[in-house]
Amino acid sequence: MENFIIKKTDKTPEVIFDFRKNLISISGICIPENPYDFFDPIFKELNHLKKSKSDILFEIYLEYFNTGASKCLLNIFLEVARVENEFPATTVNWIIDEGDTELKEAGEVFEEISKLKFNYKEISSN
Amino acid sequence: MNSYSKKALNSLIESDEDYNDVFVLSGHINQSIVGSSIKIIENKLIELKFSKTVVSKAKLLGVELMENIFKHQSLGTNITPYFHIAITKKGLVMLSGNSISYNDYLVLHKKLNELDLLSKEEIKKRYIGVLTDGSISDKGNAGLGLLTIFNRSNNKPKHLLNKVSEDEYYFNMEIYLSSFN
Repeated sequence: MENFIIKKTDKTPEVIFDFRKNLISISGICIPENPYDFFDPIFKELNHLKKSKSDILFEIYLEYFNTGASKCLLNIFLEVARVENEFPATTVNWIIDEGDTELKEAGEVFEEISKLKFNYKEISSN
Repeated sequence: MNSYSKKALNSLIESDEDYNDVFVLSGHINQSIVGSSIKIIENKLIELKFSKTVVSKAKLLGVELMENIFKHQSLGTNITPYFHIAITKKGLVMLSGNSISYNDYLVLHKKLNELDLLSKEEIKKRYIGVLTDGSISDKGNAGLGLLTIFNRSNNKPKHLLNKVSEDEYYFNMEIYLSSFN
């Protein structure tokens, strides 16, 4: 199955579903004017992944996001957590710039609510 | 700048000889302007050597404040909104203002009074609750924007609702981001 890709814009992130690796990558700026419209195709692709009944790895590296986006992101995490038998071992790599405690805390809120396993990876901007 | 924003800003500027603008936006705001503004703010704060955490906080809060303005601003008003970031004797602050309808004033006044009574922990708990259970639309986000602002601010935001007419109020906010870098 070919990868599903949404190209990034000045308001929305790049989204890549790598079906071979069961990897979902979301990176960039996330301030969609209509969050449900932006995230709807992502939910649809998530349903394709359910058929594989395999582990999923999320890699999330966001510069900033609005509340609409945070709500939709949380909905994705909750959906994956809800159907544990279809996504047995989901991990979220929450990637942040080195020293950015603000975005780290944002990830911790998603982790607290979804109960998914989050790894916090700091990358140097130098 | 209109008289309502001047009044709010002057009270801050006059009491603080250390006041220095970092970013000033006045007038119509839309989503494209939000994105462009955040980019400028980020570059300025990096130039001023604020930490990654403060820069992120400014971006996340800036988005909320500016989106709240263009989602909730009264239509057909001549009173323009504003959004500023400044350095004061307290540190880095964000200031915003926009006119709202009387109905929005009633809802906002009630929410602000409730939030003012909550502790930091209670605000976070409420934020998590609304994030989990609330719904969003292009008209708003179940109060999540205001909760995000209260949750992310270092201190409780200061706010002022000034009556313009029977149908219109002007809503000012002052948010403290950090002490000096």
